[in-house]
Amino acid sequence: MVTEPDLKTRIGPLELKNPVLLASGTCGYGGELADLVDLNLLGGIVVKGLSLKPREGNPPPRVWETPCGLLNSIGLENVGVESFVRDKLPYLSRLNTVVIANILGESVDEYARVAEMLSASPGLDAIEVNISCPNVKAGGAAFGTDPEMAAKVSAAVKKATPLPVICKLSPNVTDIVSIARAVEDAGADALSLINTLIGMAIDIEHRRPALANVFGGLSGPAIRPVAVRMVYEAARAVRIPVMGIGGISTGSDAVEFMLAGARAIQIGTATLVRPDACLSVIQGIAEYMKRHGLKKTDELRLAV
Amino acid sequence: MLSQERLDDETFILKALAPDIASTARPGQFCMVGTQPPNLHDPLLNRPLSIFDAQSDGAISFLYKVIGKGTKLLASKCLGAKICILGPLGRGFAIRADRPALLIGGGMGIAPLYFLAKAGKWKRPSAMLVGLPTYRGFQQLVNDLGQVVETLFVSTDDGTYGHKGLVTEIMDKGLSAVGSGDDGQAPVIYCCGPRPMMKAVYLAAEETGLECQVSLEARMACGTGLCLGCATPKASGGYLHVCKEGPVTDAKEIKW
Repeated sequence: MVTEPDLKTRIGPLELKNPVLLASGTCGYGGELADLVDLNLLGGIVVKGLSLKPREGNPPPRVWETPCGLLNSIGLENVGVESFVRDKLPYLSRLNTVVIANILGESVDEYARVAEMLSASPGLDAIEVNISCPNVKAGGAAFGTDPEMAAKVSAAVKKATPLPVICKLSPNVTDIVSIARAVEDAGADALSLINTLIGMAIDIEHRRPALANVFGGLSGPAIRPVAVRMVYEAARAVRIPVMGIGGISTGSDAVEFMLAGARAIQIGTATLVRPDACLSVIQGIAEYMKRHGLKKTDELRLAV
Repeated sequence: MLSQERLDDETFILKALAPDIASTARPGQFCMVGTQPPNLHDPLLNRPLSIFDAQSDGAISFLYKVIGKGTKLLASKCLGAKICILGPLGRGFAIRADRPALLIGGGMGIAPLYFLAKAGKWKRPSAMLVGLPTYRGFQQLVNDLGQVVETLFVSTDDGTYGHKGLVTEIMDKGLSAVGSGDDGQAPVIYCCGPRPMMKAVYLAAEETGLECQVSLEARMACGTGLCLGCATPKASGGYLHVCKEGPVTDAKEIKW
């Protein structure tokens, strides 16, 4: 008799029923997907990035398809932390899955303030810090591209909340290892990577950039090899757990990230194509483990 | 897939069996249509297509034009092929059956209007204005449209049928056919087509104070409110999302 593999995994203090989460920005605030997927079957859900004040987002066009990829410049549109706590969190807290809020800010103080406000209400399990936003006070350079700034944000958020802090890293850097180590040293409980790769497409018929914002973030299967490489590097450089993100749409893709060193993975663009992609990923991981006689997900990690 | 009918080099009507969608779809709603298995990624995204028809036998159909990779692949599929259809999605037309109805469609904008005309159950006069590039290939479609409305006016870019020119140039004809306001019952305009055409229809409707509902088109990734990619500017500032707050909206809501 073949026993069902145990899909449970841990991200620091968080216990997940399986290693599959939905990535921020591709699952709204959860409720949008509730008719299409039973969210209780997931390891976790990372909701849309929250800022101190609501943000309208960028002018259209905001999305453009590229070969095996999606270029987007949504502009961090979100309802703001207050409305999230009041209108969205009560629903999310009733789900039987790990709920993580992604946060963003234009200054170190804003990050800390958002984290503090989120921690005041029950229902959240962790905070994921999006350090890919421009630091307006420092002239717009992204927090996530400078180890020192990345560490500052991580430390400030860590100080502002008793919740576990996951730092979501930008791939738009020369050395992912130095950023990963810097946020670990600053107290981050886990890492998630990668965020989107900066890209550009041109609408040649109209002779203008395809996106109104000119540049956008590339996601989808096109970026998977870049993500696998960065997860492989980061997981070997830090002791804290790593979540893999980047073009995962099948169980095999997820297994690839886990072999590279990820304890859990997030599904992003694939949910936009198939709302229930996450369920087939969970099933695909279990099938792989059965086929290879593995009983625990930990046996996969760093097995390369 | 039940059938793939080719109207001209780039225009097709795809019919598929989807009983759950067919029984719940309302005119103006759309579906995300894809042809790829989960391990093939180019094209990656599904394509948003207006529902052209939903029948009691469980069949739904889409009238569409081949624009890029996704629609080209869709057009290559035939009877028996399995395609992925997510729907019905979005807000459809608010049908005002007790008011005269003027339906105005341009090009592929005809798609939701055929379904609307069929399902409308109009208690007052109704008419449809249709703008096409040419009559060649569209004879059967024009004939079918004629079966579902009381009065049909056609314009073609090349003058091969009806009025030669833009569909907006025959708006007066349509308004007089449905009896513009003589008994206090002002007609309602239901419109779908290229943005400049919808803008012209809206401005004309504004002049006479008529209600005008438009079905919007936008670049869309998910169609389900997850990505927030399909934003379009609102008249009152900020954006609305075409997939959730549209595709049909009061033309007044939009910043033209």
